[in-house]
Amino acid sequence: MSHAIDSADHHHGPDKGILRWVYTTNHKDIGTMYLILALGSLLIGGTMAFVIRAELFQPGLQLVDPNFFNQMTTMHGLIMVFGAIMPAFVGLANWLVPMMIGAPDMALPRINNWSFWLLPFAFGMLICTLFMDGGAPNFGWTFYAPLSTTYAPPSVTFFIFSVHIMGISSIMGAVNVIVTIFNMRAPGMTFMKMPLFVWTWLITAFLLIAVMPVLAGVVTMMLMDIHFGTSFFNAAGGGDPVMFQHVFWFFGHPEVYIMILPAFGIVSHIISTFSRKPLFGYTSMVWATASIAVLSFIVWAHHMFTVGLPLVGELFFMYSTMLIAVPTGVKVFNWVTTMFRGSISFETPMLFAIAFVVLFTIGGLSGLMLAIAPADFQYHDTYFVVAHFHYVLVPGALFSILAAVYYWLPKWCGRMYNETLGKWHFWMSFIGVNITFFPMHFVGLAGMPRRIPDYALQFADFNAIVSVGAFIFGLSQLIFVYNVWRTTIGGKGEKATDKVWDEPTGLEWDIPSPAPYHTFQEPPVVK
Amino acid sequence: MKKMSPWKISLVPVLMFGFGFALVPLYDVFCEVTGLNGKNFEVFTGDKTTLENSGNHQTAVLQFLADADSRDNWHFKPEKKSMELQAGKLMTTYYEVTNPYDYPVTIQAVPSVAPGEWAEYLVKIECFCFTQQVVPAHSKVKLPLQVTLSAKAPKEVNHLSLSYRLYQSESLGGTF
Repeated sequence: MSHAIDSADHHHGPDKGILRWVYTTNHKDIGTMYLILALGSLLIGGTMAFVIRAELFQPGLQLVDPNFFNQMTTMHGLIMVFGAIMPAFVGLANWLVPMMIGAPDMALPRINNWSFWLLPFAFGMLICTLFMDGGAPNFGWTFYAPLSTTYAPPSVTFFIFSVHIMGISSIMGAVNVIVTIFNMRAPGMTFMKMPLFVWTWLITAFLLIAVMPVLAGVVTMMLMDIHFGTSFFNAAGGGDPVMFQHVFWFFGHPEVYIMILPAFGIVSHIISTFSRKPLFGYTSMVWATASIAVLSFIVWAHHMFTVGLPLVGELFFMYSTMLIAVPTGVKVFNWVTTMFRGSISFETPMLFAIAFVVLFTIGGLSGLMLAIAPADFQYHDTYFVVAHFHYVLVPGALFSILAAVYYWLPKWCGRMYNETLGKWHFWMSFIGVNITFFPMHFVGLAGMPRRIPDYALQFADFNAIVSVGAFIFGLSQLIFVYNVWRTTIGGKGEKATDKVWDEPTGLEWDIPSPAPYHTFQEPPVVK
Repeated sequence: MKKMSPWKISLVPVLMFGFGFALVPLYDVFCEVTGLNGKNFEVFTGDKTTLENSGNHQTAVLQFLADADSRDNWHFKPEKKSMELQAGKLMTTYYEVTNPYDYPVTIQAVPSVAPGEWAEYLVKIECFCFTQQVVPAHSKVKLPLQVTLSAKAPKEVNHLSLSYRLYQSESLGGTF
């Protein structure tokens, strides 16, 4: 009898100890590991941002030498993009996609395990380059040739290998998401009944399988130029360094939508729940997401207006880029209209979601300014660009991830986070993020170039303000870390109900809180 | 419900990896069609008299530019700053380069014609950029160049610039 209970238990609970995490094929365990990895990367990348902002607090060279400064800007970008934002979204997809579509797990659980476990090695190797002879990559996260080939430190080979590994991980993760969504939806869940987070992730996954291989291709070409005597990007051998930029940005522009489309999904859920209204314009949201994804493939050269494109090219990429404002505007309109006459309450996830809508829109507007080719000649490679992409990535992508964690954490661990700490975290982040990134617009328009350890005296005041803001923003993330720690491991906080919030929609709220280790063994029926 | 096969969907990344490499020749084709990068000049290998008997006698100024490195210890420069090209008339000129080192150096010159969309009207009969050149230690060499204007050049083509960037070919990636 006890044997029978044991073997039944075996299928219902996780293994014990560290090997649970090494061998796990459970989407919830893997999602948790992705999120922890992303948090670790966020803290490491944030520390690098502290080094950057400390050096830039005053004009002149105080703390680090310029080469190390360049290593910091490069590694900060790489770790935040590939180590923090992307794994965080994959973690959320792992946790939420099966629960939202009523599936028991991801379609390819072992591939899922492998995709995650490649990442610690990829990032371990990337971080090791800091301690190698010649230092870490110092050519900027966009690694333009020939800076990243002819003039690169020897560690560039490790950088290339690490990009290959994380690329394989992303591709496998994306294939897994696509196959799961196509094959494992609960009976009755048609495509146009899927929750928006699932939709945005499906489209993101298609972007990933289309462009991550191009990134793998471009770093492979670099590898061949450096070690095997080819001349893909080498003018002396008949190659062309400008071609590097074309191939890189063919990957790079869809990549920026990979980092924002899942955020659109998250924010749609949260705004609808806390406005106590169904999302306005579901169908248009789906179409807007798909159009943004399609357009992302034909706008890449707006990153390269100053390389000497022909006039026709400048015009084409200018207008096609501006076209993206249309579907993005549809989304913002839908979020605002969802809130309109809603019965709104301002819990922490909602605060982050509203801040997302406002601040992401500011980032979108500066993006429109940058899309104007003649204006971009002035803005190119200035702090205005830095302000723009930090507005879409920090109060954009990162805020949506924080909002998602606050929103779904009670479902994951069964307890409510501390709302007071959450509010403190939000307001400190909101104030800090604006003090950090808003003045960057001003110094950028005044001509301060990006990626420099020293600057002209007229930028001194704003840079001091920016650095203070950066430290406020960075340190306030520790409130978040503490809040999550005390709710999960610390075991504090009141018990969450199964619904957690007032009438949220979605299958994930039909299962108990905390979500059992195995859910939807029997598929639910969606009406 | 029809199932989606993970193997089928995995074909997409495989194809896109190939597409990344296919972008390289596509880029060259694109540059050739649009005249971008000014590499699209005509290399003439046939009988020179056919050039001379074209009947078109249009002229255009050809300007010469040289670029070795920022320190300019190679004294890489054209013999003349510019000259008048006439369709069908073969013009010969030189670039000079001095090797400042104690050892011979092999160099490769990479040409570019501006404006790029007119590059096809520059006809090169002979150019030091076609092959690598060896410059002996501490010596100055003259690098020959023979060009003319294409008989196909329309009237508005009145001005062309021809520039060379010099690279050391032992370390193809390396500049001086």
